[in-house]
Amino acid sequence: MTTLRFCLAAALLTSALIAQKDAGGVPAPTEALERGRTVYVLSACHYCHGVDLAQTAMGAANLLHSRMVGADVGGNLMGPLIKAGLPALQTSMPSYYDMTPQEITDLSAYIHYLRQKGRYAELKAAPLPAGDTARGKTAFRGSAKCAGCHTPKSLVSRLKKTPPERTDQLLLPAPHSRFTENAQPAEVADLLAYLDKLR
Amino acid sequence: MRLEDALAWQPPATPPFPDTVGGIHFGVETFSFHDVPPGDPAQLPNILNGMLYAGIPECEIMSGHIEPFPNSATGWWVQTRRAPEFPKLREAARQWRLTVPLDYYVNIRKRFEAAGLRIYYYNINFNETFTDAERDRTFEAARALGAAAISSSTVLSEARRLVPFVEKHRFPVAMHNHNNLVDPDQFATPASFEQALAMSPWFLCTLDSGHFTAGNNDAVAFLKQHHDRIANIHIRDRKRNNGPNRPFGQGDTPIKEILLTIRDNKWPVRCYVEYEYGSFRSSAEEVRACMEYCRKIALS
Ligand code: HEC
Ligand code: HEC
Repeated sequence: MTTLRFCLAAALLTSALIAQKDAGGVPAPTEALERGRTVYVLSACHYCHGVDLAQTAMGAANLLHSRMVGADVGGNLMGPLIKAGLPALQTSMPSYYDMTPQEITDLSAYIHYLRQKGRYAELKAAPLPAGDTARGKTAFRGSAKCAGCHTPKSLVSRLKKTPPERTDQLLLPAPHSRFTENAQPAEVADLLAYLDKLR
Repeated sequence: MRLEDALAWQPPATPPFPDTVGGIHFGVETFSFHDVPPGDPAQLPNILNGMLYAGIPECEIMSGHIEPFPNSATGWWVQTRRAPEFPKLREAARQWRLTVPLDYYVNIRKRFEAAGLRIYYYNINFNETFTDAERDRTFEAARALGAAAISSSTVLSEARRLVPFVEKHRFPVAMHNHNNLVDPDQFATPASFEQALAMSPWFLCTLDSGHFTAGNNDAVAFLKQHHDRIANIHIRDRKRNNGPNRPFGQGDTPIKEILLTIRDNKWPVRCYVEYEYGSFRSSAEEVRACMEYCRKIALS
C-alpha cells in the first residue's frame, strides 16, 4: 500500500517537477541569442547573477547596473574577466578559462540583450522626472551621443508628442540599444525636453 | 508545482528508499534546489518532494528554506551589509529568530519525519552580525529541527566567538569551506580548518569537496587525515584553479576516490550531493542525476 502510494505520488511529482518553468529564464528571440542563453545557463551564471542580471546572490555584482557591462562591446571587457574569474571573494566567481571566443561573443550578446530588456523595463516602470532643456542639449552632443547619427532638427518633426510612444522612440530599437543599456531616467527626460523645445 | 498540490499530497509514512547505499549515508544540501526560492517557507513541500524524487533520505537544510526572509537579511554576504536598508532587514530577521516559537522548527521536523525523511544538519551561516542571543537561539532551533549538528559557512574570527556557545549547548558546529585563498579569515585550506578544529572538540568540518578542489587542495588527503572530525562532505564537481562547477564526472573533484575511501574504511562521514552546475532541467531532476552518479560508484 505504502509502495503503491509512493509510486503514484512519485509519478505525479515527476510530471509536476518537470513541468516547472525553464530553469534558465525565457527563450531568447534569435538563434544567436539562444546560443548565448545556453552559455549563460550552462555556466550557471544565473545562480549568482539571476536570469535577469539583477539578482545579487552569493555577493554577486548587479549586471543590470554594472558600469563595466554598460561599457562593454562584444565581450571586450567582460570576456577577460569571465575567463579570469574573481577568486579572492567571499565565495569566488569561478574562472571560465576554457570558454571559446565564440562562446564569449554569444554570451556577451545575450547579456547585452538581457540588459536592454531589463533597463527598458526599469525606465518604463516609473514616470520620468521633469526634464531640463539645457542639460538635454549638452547630453545630445555629449554623453548620449545622439549627434553622431542625428541632427536635432531632423528629429523634432518625428518625435511623438505623447508618452509612452515618445519614450519608446529613444529606447530599445536596435540603433538605440546601447543608449537604452546605460540611460538614466533624468537623461531621457532631459533629451525629450530639449527636442520638445526645438519643436 | 503549485503549492496547493504540494500541500494536498500526502507523503508515504516510511522511507521509500534505504538509509545507506553501499554503506554510505547520502544526503543533499537543500541549496541544490535552486528553483525553490529562499525566504518562502511555504515552498517547503517542494524540498520534500525533490528529496523523494531524487531518492535521498536526509538533508542539510539551508536556513533560507525555513526562515521567512531572504539570505540578504542574514548578514553572511558582506556585500549585502552595504545596502542602506540592511540594518532594518537584519533587525527584523533577528527579531523573528528570537521570537518564533520553537514549535515552528519542531513542526518542520515532523513534516520531514512524516515523509520518511530527516533533517540531519542545519545550515546557518554565523557571522559578526549575530547577537549572542541570536547565537543561543540558533542552537535551540537546530535541536528542535532534530539536527545532529549545525553546518556553517563562516570565518575563523566568528568560530572563535562560537567556542563558548558550542561548549554551553554541547552541540557541534561544522565549518564549511569556500576557496578564497587570499583572506586568512576564510575557510579554504587544510590549515584554516585545523585552526578551528583546535579551538574546540565541538568543531567539525563540512568539507566542500568542490570548493576544496577549485582551491587546488587535495580532498582525499584531507579526508584521510581528518575523517573523525568531518561531519559531512559536500559532493560536487569543480575544476581546479577556481574553475567552474561541472556535471558530476566532468570536473576535477575526486568524487569516486572520496566515496570509495569512505565506503571501504566504513567511516561514518556523510556524503551530501550539492547541485550547482548549470542546466535547463529542474533541480530535482539534476539532484537525482547527481545521486545516481554517486549510487553507481557506491555500489561498484
Ligand atoms: C558563484 C557566483 C558567481 C557565478 C557563478 C558567476 N559570477 Fe559573475 N560575479 C560574481 C561576483 C561575486 C562578482 C563580483 C562582485 C563584486 O565585485 O562586488 C561578479 C562579477 C561579475 C562581473 C563584473 C561586474 C562588475 O561590474 O564588475 C561580470 C561581467 C560577471 N560577474 C559575469 C558573469 C558571467 C557571465 C558568469 C557566467 C559565465 C558569472 N559572472 C558567473 C559571482 C558569480
Ligand atoms: C548609432 C546611430 C544612432 C544614435 C547614436 C542615435 N540614433 Fe536615433 N535613430 C537612429 C536610426 C538609424 C533611426 C531610425 C532610422 C531613421 O528613421 O532615421 C533613429 C531614429 C530616431 C528617432 C525617431 C524614431 C521614430 O520612430 O521615427 C528618434 C526620436 C531618435 N532616433 C532619437 C535619438 C536620440 C535622442 C538619440 C540620442 C540619445 C539617438 N537617437 C541616438 C540612429 C541613431
